[in-house]
Amino acid sequence: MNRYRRPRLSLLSTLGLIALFLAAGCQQTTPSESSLPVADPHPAGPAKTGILLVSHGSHSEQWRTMLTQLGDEVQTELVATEGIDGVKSAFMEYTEPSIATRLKEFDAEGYTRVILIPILLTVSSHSFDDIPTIVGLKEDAKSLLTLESEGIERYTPQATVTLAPLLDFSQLLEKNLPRRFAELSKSPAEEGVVLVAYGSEPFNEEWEAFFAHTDEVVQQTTGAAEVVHTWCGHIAHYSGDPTKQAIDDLLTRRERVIVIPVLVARDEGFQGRIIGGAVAESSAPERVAYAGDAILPDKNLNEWIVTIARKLQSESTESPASE
Amino acid sequence: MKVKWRAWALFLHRDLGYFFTGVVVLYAVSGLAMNHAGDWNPNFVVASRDLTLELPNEATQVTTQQVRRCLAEVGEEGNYRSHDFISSQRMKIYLTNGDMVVNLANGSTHHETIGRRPVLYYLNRLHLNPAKWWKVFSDVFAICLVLIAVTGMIVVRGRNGLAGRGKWLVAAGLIVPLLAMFLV
Repeated sequence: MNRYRRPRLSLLSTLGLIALFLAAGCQQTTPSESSLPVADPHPAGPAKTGILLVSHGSHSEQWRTMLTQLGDEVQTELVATEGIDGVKSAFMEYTEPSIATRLKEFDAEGYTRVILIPILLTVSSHSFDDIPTIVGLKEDAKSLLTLESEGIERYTPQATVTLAPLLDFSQLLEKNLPRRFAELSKSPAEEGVVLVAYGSEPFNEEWEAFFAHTDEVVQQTTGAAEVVHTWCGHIAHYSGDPTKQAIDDLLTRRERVIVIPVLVARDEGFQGRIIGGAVAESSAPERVAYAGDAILPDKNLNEWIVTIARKLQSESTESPASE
Repeated sequence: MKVKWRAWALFLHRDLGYFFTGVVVLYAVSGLAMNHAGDWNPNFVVASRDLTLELPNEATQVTTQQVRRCLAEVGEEGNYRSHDFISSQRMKIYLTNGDMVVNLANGSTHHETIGRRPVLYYLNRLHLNPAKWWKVFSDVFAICLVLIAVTGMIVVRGRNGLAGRGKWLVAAGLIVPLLAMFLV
């Protein structure tokens, strides 16, 4: 026999209240049903061009702040350009504002063309497939499924989207890396350099070729004894082991090793735990110089964004039928 | 009036336990699947094969008609979506259920198909809070889990209750997460 007396208020009533509460919650929109104003296309209206700076996105607030600052810094110069009417920044994943959110805003504000500038280093699944799939320019089966499973909304805007080239097109690193090397170097001829980048499994061939060239340029520009590269992203399972191994290899041949992250912005996970951890665990951390910095901030990147935006804007004005 | 707190504890523990059984299993199974995401793909079934396609060696010479003809030869005729060039020597063919990456220098091709893993794909999606209302529901679930845990500790009296062996088991169960907090 049950020793306890049944409470007056049935638990079923409580659960019913929970169900009602949830039903009310169901009225909320999902990420794919944003409550932004419906696009009001202006086919007969004046041409209006917007710039959308798209970065990968990160859980790190510090990382996101650096990218937001980049957008703020180039905004004044870009909107001063004839034919460019607005600048927005978006993150491909993890946090708002997403690409879809920004494109909806551009549509709602009557933009007819959006120049999407990916703040991504070189070709990857994100630049080649994911971003074009998000904006409706491609339908990559893997991207479609991944975007759906990760809750990343696709949105094909009324405005025409033009994709700008990636940062590797700008030769940005050829100035950025030697500058950062100089800040840490004492005697280049006795120093080796480890460049640590994200990497890409499906585009490994292209990343290897790009970094082989970058290694060569950095060595020639800085006079460093040796320059090597390694990966820290998905291809390395987000492990510091490849970085540690590259540092230890160089330490056997060179007096000092300089470690430079070739990542767009600072993220506690990458520059801190993964690369910083590898430096700390190397065979001789006292002979390793590491600042935990990033490609940003770099005025050359700001200049390049302005230059490429203006170039694409003028091209679209010259040949509007090209797309 | 005396509050029948132990009776409340029993009813809450029992009925919330029943109500959230499915969600507990959902989070447990998808948690297990995603815990090992480094060893396998918990969301998708990816199948791949290597083959050779006869296409021109230069990107500029490749036509859609040639791509479609090659696909027909390998049984993928109806799956063509589009194609694009990664570089002058590498091409990607988009299919309805996957893709092919072709090395134009020698025609060697890597063909991958991708599909949702039955059941697990949907469980994992829910685990990642895909919608606002689900987030609300999972918040309620999380609060109820705490209730289930707390009420579970006090429903039994005597030597099998919290005052007896219960306290030792609770303490033992706390050791691993506490160690992890300081060591990991």
